[in-house]
Amino acid sequence: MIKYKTNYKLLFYISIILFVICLIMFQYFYQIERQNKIDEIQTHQKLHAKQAIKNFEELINKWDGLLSYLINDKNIKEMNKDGIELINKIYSIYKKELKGITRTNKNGVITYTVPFYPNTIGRNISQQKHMIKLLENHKPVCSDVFKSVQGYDAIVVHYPIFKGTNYDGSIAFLFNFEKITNSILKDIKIGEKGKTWLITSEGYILFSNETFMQKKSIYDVFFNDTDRLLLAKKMLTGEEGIATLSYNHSNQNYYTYYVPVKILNSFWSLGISYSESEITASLLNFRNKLLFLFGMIFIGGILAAYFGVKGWIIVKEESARKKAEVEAKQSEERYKYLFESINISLFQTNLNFELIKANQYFINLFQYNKEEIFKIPFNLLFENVEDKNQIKEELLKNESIKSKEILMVKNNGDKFWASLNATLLKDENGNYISILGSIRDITERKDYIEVLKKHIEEKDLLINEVFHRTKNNLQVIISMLELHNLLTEDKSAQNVISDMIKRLHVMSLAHKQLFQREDLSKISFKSYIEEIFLYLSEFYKNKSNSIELKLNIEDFNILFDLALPCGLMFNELINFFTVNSEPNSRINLILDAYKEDDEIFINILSDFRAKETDKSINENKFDLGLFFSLVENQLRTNITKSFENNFSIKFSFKDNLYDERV
Amino acid sequence: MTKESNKNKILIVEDEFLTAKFFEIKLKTKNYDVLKIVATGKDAIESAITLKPDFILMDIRLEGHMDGIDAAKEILNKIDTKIIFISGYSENNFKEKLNNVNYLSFFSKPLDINNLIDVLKKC
Repeated sequence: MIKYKTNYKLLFYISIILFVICLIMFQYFYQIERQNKIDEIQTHQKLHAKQAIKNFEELINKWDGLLSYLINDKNIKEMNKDGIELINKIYSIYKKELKGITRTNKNGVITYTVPFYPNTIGRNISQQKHMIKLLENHKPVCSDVFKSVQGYDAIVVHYPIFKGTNYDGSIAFLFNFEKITNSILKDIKIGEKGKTWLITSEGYILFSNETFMQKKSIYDVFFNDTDRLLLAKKMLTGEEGIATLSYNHSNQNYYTYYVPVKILNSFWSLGISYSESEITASLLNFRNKLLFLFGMIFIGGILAAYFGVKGWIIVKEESARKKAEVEAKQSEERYKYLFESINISLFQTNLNFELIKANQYFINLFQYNKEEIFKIPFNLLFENVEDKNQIKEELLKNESIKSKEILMVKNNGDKFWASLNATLLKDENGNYISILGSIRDITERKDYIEVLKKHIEEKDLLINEVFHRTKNNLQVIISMLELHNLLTEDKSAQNVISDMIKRLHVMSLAHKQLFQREDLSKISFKSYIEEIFLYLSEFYKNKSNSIELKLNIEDFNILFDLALPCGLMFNELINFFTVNSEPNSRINLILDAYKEDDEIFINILSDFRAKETDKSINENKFDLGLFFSLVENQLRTNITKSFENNFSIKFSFKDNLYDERV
Repeated sequence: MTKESNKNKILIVEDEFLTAKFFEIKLKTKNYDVLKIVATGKDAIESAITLKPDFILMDIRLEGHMDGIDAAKEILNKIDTKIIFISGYSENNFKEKLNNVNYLSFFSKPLDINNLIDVLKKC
């Protein structure tokens, strides 16, 4: 059964996204509902306000007609008996609504009042705020709320009376304001925390649910409540509007609709507030339902995502598995095709070397048919069974074998050299399961190598022979010269022949050096000079004078073509010192030789003193003349020499003066 | 100059006549008794058996089919003598073959005759 791995990480991310979406949607719908609620409340506020305004206007209109009549009445103007009777009559008719009727004179002194209070007649009220306004403007005015003598809150409306064009006092109606506000304003507040307030255009609070504010100025009440003071100031502009404010710096927001109420020649402003907390409270049920709904959506989404992800993974992994199967099949087919069609003999065996697979090229190589090759023991293909065991050991040790040369046997018994490459194959757990190998017939290559080896051996033999002949010939020449030397009695001829023999020996030492090395172009300069000196020491061992040689020669190789003249020059030098030095003398000779880049430097320093120095070191004389000639004409360089204090010769020459011969 | 030992009979096996002649004259000047000069391995064996030299100066490449090493082996099997090889080849060329031969010294040509005389003197 296939197990599919759930992608919990993906699920987690989906959950987060889903949660955020649910949260946003919840907020969106909640805010829409909240706004609807606010709009609804504001509509209610407006309706209440309109209704209150209408009631106020009706009230004003109702008494405006009566007052307008009275101010024009002759008896009222004169305030005679009929006038008093009319006032009393009106009072008795509207007793329930009117709490009193007062007549003032032009100076603001009460001349008559009903119900009659003896103390009030003759009382000057000209200094009352509304009276001041009346006396100034001579227009109808409405007072602020005041406490009546009867003990209730009252307001009074004064209408001016003119005699002709002259102001002649006023007639005023006294109303129980509490009664008015109770009938018009008390019930228009919305909700438990809702507030209604009515203020005059001067900022005097006529009504408020918070009774402590009544009959006070907004500036006194709201002196430390900035928001409400601001709202009150807006209301004083006489405009209509909506404001949001928090009372007394609380977190509680109130939505307030305010609207002006036209009162006679002035206005009052009515404000209706509704508490946000009540909106929130009213939305609680809706919010809970919404929470439940989105909670369900979220959980449903999580479940859907879980099963969706799981399903998606199953589909994805299933398709990947199918794709892998197809690819594996294609790969196997390609492998099979390659295995069969490749021009190399390939085979596969188990670890016991039992053939599992073999391509046609392999079968053809061993000249079996397809049925036979799988029946015969694999051992039969090896000339030496030990090879097979060795291959197995090497494979187990190194896991692969490269180009192992083994002798193998064909079906017809023919043997051939094969190059075997093999590697161990492992299963998915890393256990060895089989051996995959290739075999290449290298008989031709082996034959070719044999031919090459033979050629090399022949060349080696030839080189040996050349060396042998050269040295043999040198020996023959030296022998001839030696014979001449033995047979002649002429001393100078003997010296010449001896010099010739020495030179031939010096040359032969170079050949010897060359023959001892694998490099046929170069020899060791240091070894060569040392051998020459050994030979010459032996040659001159019977002489009474001696040469103390100090060789400071770096170990570098030099072309044979350059070594030979150097050897001859060194021979000439030793010969010159030996022949020309005082008997029993000892000559110190220092030879420095080193190589820098492609330049070889030779410095020769000696304390040699010739018997006739100037004459002996004449370059034209043969003994050292050959030395200088070789430097200039063979090594192609110039020499620096000094014979005054010490014998000093310096020169350098190019190491690449000749190309390497071999 | 006189020789220090009383062993002075020498057989020269050398196919180069001039070389052999030089060795003969030079050795004679040093009071050595050069018994004979031969050029083949076969002659070398016969002469050695007959003349019983103290030293045999043996070239390696000789006339005929037998080389100096094989001839030396034969001679050493039959008589008591000292073999000194003198060859244009180096000693390394015959390293394996010389393993079974008890020889006194090996000189590479061209030979400094004084070195040979020094070896002879020491015996």
